[in-house]
Amino acid sequence: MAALEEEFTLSGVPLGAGADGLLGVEQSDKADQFLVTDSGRTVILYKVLRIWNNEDVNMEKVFKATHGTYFAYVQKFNSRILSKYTLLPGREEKSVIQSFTASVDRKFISLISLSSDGCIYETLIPTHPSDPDQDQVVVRSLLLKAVVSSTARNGAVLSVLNQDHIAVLGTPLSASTECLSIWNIKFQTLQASKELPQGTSSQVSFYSAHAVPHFVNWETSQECGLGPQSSEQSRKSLRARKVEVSLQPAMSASKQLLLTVKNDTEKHIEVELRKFLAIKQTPDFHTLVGDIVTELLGRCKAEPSFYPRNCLVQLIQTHMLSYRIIENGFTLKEANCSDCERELKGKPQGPAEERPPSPVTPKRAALLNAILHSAYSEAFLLPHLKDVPAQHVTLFLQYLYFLYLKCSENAAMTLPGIHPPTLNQIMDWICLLLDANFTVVVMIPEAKRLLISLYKFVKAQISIYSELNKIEVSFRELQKLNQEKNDTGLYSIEVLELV
Amino acid sequence: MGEFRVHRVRFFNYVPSGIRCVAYNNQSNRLAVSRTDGTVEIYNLSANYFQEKFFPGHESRATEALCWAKGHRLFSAGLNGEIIEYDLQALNIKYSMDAFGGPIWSMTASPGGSQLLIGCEDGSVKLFQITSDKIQFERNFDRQKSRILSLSWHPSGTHIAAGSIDYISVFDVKSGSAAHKMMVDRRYMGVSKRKCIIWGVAFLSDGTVISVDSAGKVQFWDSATGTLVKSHLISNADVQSIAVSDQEDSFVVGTAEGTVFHFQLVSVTSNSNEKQWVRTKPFQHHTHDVRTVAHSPTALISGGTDTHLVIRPLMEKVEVKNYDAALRKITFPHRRLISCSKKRQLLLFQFAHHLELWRLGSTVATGKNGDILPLSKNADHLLQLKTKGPENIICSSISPCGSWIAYSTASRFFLYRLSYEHDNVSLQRVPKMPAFLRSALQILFSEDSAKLFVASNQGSLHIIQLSEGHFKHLHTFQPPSGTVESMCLLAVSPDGSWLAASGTSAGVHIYSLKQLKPHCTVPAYNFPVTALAIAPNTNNLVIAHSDQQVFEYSIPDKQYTEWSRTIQKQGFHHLWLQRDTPITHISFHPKRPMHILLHDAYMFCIIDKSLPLPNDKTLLYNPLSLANESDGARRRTAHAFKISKKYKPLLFMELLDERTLVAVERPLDDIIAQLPPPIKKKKFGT
Repeated sequence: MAALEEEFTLSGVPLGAGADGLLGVEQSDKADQFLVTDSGRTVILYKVLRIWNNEDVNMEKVFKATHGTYFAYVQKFNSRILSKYTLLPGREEKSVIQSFTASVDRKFISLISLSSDGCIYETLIPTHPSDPDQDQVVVRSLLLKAVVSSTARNGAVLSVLNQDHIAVLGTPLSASTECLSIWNIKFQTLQASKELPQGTSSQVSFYSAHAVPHFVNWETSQECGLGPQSSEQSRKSLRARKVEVSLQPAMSASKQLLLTVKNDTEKHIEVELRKFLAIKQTPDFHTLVGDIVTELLGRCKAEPSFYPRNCLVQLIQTHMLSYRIIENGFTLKEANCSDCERELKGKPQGPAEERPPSPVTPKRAALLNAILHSAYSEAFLLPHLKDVPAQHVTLFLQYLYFLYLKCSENAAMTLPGIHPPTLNQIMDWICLLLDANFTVVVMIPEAKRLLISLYKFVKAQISIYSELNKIEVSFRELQKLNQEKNDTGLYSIEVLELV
Repeated sequence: MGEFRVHRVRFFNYVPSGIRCVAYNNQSNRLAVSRTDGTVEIYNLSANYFQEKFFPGHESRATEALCWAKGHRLFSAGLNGEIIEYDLQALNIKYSMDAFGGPIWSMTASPGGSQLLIGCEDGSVKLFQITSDKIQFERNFDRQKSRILSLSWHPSGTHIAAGSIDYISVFDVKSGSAAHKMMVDRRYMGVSKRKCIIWGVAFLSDGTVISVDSAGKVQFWDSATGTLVKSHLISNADVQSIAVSDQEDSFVVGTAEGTVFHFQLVSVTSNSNEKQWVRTKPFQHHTHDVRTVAHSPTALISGGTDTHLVIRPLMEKVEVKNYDAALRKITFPHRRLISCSKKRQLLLFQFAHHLELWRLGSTVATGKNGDILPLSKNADHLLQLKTKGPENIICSSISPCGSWIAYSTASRFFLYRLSYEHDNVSLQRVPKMPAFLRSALQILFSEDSAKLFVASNQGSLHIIQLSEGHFKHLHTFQPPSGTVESMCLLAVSPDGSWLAASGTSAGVHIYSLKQLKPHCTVPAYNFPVTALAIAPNTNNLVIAHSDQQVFEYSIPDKQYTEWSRTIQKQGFHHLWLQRDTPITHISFHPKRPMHILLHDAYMFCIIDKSLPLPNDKTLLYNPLSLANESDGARRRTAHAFKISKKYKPLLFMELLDERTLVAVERPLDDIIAQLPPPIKKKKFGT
């Protein structure tokens, strides 16, 4: 990893095991040797070719001096494919990675790195790369700001405890001695901190997932301050905070959330939103939800990179959005539709399969599904639907038809997932779209096939339903017969034992 | 506890009348309900929704409108063209007055409660002044072309809105002239073919008039300009009723499809003062037309053709999330319609306009728990007794010996002597019943059938001596001076020494029948009495209240019994207190003095006073599986309340002899089968 030249990096050297990635790189006492540890318990000593000045063996300078680019290599155990990823810096353009650690879940390798600017960054690397032979680019994103001092002499190290917590060993901004700190990366809060005045060898290792709850003091989870804190202090401030909270009206919480939506990261918004949705519903709850969505959509439009999918889905699942907000969602969706249409045009479809693939990307599909879930008023929505361009209508219809086909694949006529759209919702929207745009759709050649399929489908439904109506009558008669059988009639003498 | 033979009777062909109007009184938290047969019922919402009073119906008195005015005064108006005021103390009609406008379709009291406004068939709107003891016609408003179906008063009292056919008029109260006429779109599902009937209007403080009509619309009008502001199409069928909350932030409408919609005034955005009406919640608690709705501060109330009264608490308005927050559906009257002759095994059923007498069948077979025994003789319909005249029967009773039947309407009291020869029964009316017995609220025979007790609506209790086809007035207990509260419930001790009588609020009065004088009064309790009975031998009076408390009071000792004190100290099981129908009948086992039998509409219970009381940790309702357990296991779990929920809805349950019970059920399906078909909603297809 600590490579100076690409040619020299670990390529071609299959590491011991698997997908867990590299666990650590240690500089040995010799300047040109590095110990690389991976999860397969292999320790390999690498000789590093020196191309810099012999007297200046400071790692930081070395990295600054060579190439500022980092690469991540993923060695897959079963396929023996080594993938290479170029780590694009985020905001921390000139910083140097001091320590890193990685964890793996099903879809991603999360590479968490501590940079010399004292911040912790996360890079998500897909475990199943789309094109393993190609060099790929991944972006580092900021996880925690200024965790350790950037001027400290000793390098800081970090270790992942579980998906929400990391341990950082280093000198915090506000202190002069080293500290072992546990951070909650989800809430971006300091969970616990222990001062180590004797100094350390800058090594941290972690060995039990179950250990976390024992040493995490949840009461201080609200504390965001850096540096060591005695428990008494934290208790005091907690008390003060409680008073503060009780004095503040409920409104300010919502205002704060709106501020968060305006300025914060997607992840943070998501966390805050979840907290907001979990609290008791106030009478103005639905208007607040409306405000949040409006704010989110506004930011979506302003910042192309901002796409809070989970937040939107969560909000739509409250079933509290008015048609106007859905309409806004539509304009956003339209933009997405044109995007994905470009994608569709750009990428010719693969060889014809038995079932058509989804005409929209999963991300957009999720948003569209959420829209299908929303309550709406036909009278108010129809005029707006008429304004949707014809090709978008076609695309949306294609997607709805795709959903319908998916639905009809199983007997229960349901789609997989936690909150899948129901068959009724799909049908309602098909009807709505056709009602609003039939005269237009009928003129579009591409829509012809779709219309014919829909026509056939409706015809089939009518015949099914007429059969069902017949069956309903028969069932009712059967039920009646059954009732008569169970009925004791108008009069009977029975034996009852009371216990 | 014992095995019983149960005569399970389902041939009581009772169908409650559909609900036509409901009127909520905010001051007293009472709800007045009128039915299509002219019956008016008063429910006390503070007393566990108990039906504490009723006024018997009348064939020619179909009420179309019902309203409270001047605090606690209740008025109705109907298609016979009369306005009626009810006497809520004496439980009779105070007076009725012809309004001379043809059938009356609508009525509303002024915001101050001092004036009454009616809308008539001939298109007239008439204003009446409410005086201290009557109402007085004041004047007519400008006559409209067609009938006035709905009326609403502006909260300031200056204007009224009147819904007619195809249009809504706004009147200036001072001048009596129509300020605006707002035409309503006739179109029904896009086709203009019908007249549009304005079933309801509501006038809000800001001048908005909300209308509901036969085309399925809820519309908002600006009364100042006479223009339509907003329209909601909410139903394929008629929207028949509307009620607005006092705060004007919420209203409720009912449709012919049985749906009730809740509309609320909500802020458009969190920071703005701009608010709009939003349809928030639909409720489907009815199968048929929702003819009427009311809006109490905490609940939506609805009633209609399917005869159920539905009270749906608004969760956000209910402070304590306890059982009071649950939906209430009231179907059956909270009084007994059935009496029984134990000796001859007869049941007397009371309907609105006739009585039916049935003889129970018999069996010689035996069996185990749950067996249906083969009948050696089926039940017999012995006779049907039709009332003459348009008045509904108020109450009826058959004597324990089966030889006497008595019933009362508002204007007459009837007594019949029955004689039995083999399977035949003959009936002879006892002539010349005294006029003071009419309008009786409760009739009771003594255990030996020699005496008849009649509670009149003026608060007095009459005692009649019966002998072979004759009667003699023995005594009358006058109400305590200064009170006119009528007695609704009576109980006599089996030994004939004591008579207990209870009204709706003032406690239970006990009279000595030997000395013919008042004995004592059981202290008044906060909740009305729902059933009374005096136990044999001990002469303990058992009283059930609408809050599900049961007391036992020793008449000879003039104090509550030790058992009653114990159970009050420990408290009833929470499941017992959560039952939502009142106990309507209490009786005793002749050989087991420790047993009390009682029932409500969904359970019957034998309380065995010798067993420990259940606490909240005990299972109140013993599981069926316990029947298969060993005696030891049964004894370990045994507690005083033995409950069976097998028979429901249970209208009557009585012990015929030591080992025989009779249970009269009225399955809801049988009632629904007799109602007109609801508007059909297709399950499949379009």
